[in-house]
Amino acid sequence: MTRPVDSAMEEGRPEKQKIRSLWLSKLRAYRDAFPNDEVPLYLTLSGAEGHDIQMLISNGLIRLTEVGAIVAEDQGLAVAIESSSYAVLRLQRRMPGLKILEQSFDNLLHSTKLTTWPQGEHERFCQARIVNLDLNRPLKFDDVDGELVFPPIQWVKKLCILHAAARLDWCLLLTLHGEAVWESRETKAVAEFLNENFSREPVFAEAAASLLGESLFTHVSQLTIPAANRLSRVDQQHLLMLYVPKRIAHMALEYGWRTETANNLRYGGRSRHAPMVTWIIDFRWDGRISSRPEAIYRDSLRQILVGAGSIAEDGSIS
Amino acid sequence: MTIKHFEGEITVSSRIVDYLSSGLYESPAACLKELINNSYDADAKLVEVFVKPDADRIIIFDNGQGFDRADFQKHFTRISESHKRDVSDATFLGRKKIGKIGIGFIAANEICDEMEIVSTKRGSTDLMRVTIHFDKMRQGVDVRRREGDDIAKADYTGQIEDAPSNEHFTRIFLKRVRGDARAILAGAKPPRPDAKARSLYGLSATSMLAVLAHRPLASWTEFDDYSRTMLGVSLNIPVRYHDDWLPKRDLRRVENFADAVAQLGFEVRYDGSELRKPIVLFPSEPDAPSFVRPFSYDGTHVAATGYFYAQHGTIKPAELQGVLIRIRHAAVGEYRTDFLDFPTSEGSLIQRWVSAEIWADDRLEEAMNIDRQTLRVAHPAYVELQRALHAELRAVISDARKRLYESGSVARRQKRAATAVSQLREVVRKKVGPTDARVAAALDRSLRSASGQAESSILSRRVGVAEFYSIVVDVARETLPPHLFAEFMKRLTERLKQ
Repeated sequence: MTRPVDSAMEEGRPEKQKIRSLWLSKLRAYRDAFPNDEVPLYLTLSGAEGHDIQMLISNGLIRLTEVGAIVAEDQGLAVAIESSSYAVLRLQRRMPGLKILEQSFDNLLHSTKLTTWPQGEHERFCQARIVNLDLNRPLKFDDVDGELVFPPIQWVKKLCILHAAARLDWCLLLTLHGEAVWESRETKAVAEFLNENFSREPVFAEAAASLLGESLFTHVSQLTIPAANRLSRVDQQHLLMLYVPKRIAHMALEYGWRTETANNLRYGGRSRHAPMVTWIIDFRWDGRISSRPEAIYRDSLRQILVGAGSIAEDGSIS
Repeated sequence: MTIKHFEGEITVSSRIVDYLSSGLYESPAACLKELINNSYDADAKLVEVFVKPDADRIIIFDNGQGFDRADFQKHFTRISESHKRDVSDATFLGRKKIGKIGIGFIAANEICDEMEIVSTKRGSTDLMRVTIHFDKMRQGVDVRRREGDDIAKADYTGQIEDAPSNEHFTRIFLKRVRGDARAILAGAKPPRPDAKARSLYGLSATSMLAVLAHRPLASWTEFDDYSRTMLGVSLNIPVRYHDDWLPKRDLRRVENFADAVAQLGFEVRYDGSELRKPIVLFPSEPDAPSFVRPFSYDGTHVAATGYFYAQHGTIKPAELQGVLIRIRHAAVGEYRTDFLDFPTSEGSLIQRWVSAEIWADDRLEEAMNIDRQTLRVAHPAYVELQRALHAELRAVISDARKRLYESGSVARRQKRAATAVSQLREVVRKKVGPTDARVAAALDRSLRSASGQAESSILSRRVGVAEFYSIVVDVARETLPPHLFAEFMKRLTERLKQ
């Protein structure tokens, strides 16, 4: 039985291949920069086929024994998270020796609450140099005591805190459905958040205007934007490309991180493929944050749209 | 005197069954092989076991017949009332079932706190998913006592889902694997604090054979716990032998046993590595002699076949010394180095040169204890097999004395003589050749011609200085005139003193 999440990870799609090649570059860079880590290189929601881990294998980052099992020395490099026992078995059969946690990511992190935390080796796994949250779901808010909370953003928050404990530079690979299925109240909250920095950070405002287009940018900046679920698919993707990395940069700052958004891409939305958005965001521990938080935040903001673009069906980036 | 009679019935308390079904297996390997043998009984052709990297979860997947809810409830929900052999003694494919009383699956409780079973029976459209929680077993017996004197061992929850079409399988997930078992299964502990653990992880069957055939391999204790578990499992289960597991000259005499196992078509992969019987027997010296004696016995209470392999020198690794008993292709415990209580005084040296495997018929099964590791020594089938085996071992020891020990000593003498001849020729070449080439050539010819029968001459012995001095004195007296004899002996003696 093929699950939607596994279909989404389909090997053959050029867009997905392109994204994986970007991931691979990042994985190589971190492996080379931190060769003797005690934390895993890679924590991933890999799906039952584990294409991303296969990519590490075929590119020599993870080595195999003569029977196709992961060599003992490389077993700590990648950790897969998979809640379905069926998928666990498939993954393990494809890659004997791979560390697989049979649970959801939410469970690994002990939910989005900041009162409970992973312990022991699970804490160490969460401090992986690169965390890949390849999520086959749209950005939906939960209303928690009147506050709008998006679970994956909360996960990133917990990851920021866990990494801050070890002060290890790390990288987030985040992929979401590109549908902003928000009603008016939620959309207005997003617009207010985006609007905060348009006046003080002209570079960011210009880039945002260029991405959103004149009309949508005006609606955002004047807080007259309609409910996002009434926008076109591409506008919804653009809104997410602006909102998600800014929200993450804002939140990360609180825990000592300056973010560098290396890639900010949309793809899909044509033929039978769902619209998607994907980010590669580096988190750099920055000692200046306590004295100059505003400057650091503005650095992060300026980076958000530098790597913005879209991936065409043939895998090319424009 | 008044005589009072009394009578009654002696019953078995369920507490005994509870006790027996806890702590039944001495090692994680014993638990795993029980589950793998269950797969064999389910006609699986392939079993895949996944333990690495850290054994926090173990998966056993087989492509056997599978089972459904009714089977689960019939076979597994009441320990010691198995119906495994009710309908037939053999499986659908004709394999004789190894399991008998259905206690094997409960073995899992010794290494984990939770077991998930997912299975689809051949021809069924249902997929059964059952989770068994063994936490209950850790509670006191009073808490677990149930009506009718039963004692609860575990809780289970199950559900039925739609099965993937045309598939039949069983997947077992051992979850929350317990501390020490986890360390052993993952090989986290080196064999000795001062030793670097060797591991068989990730090796192909060919590479594994090369490692096991490499000498010196004194003992499996040179491997890490992971590998020893793997070896322990593969020793027990009905997987095939390596292609070259004995010296070539001996191989043909056991090929019927090896073929019989191969024909079962049962393959087990352990973290991707194919398991073969870890029985690899070679003398330490490549040209040292060995032999195989097939064994066959058909008695009143038991029948058995097998082989005795004997070599010149101690069997290594030590785990293969002794005799291994198999019933229905599954081993009963490990090799018995005492050959079922064979007197240690009889051929004590040569006993360590022998490795035997015996396949006994089903009548010996009745003598097997519940742990499948040991046999009841008073059972008629055991007693008879023991007697037959001891008689055969005496014959093997006698044979070994003639064919291995004595021929071994001839070989050693020949080797020593050849070395001596070679050294003497070198002395002649260096010390006689330069001054008298003709004499040197004659001496060399003489020495070469001596090498043919040298093993029976003094050249084959270790000779002390006194003995050699005595020889020289004799030769000098025979050949020299008295004044030269005196001078020769004086100089020789002076030289020896220097």
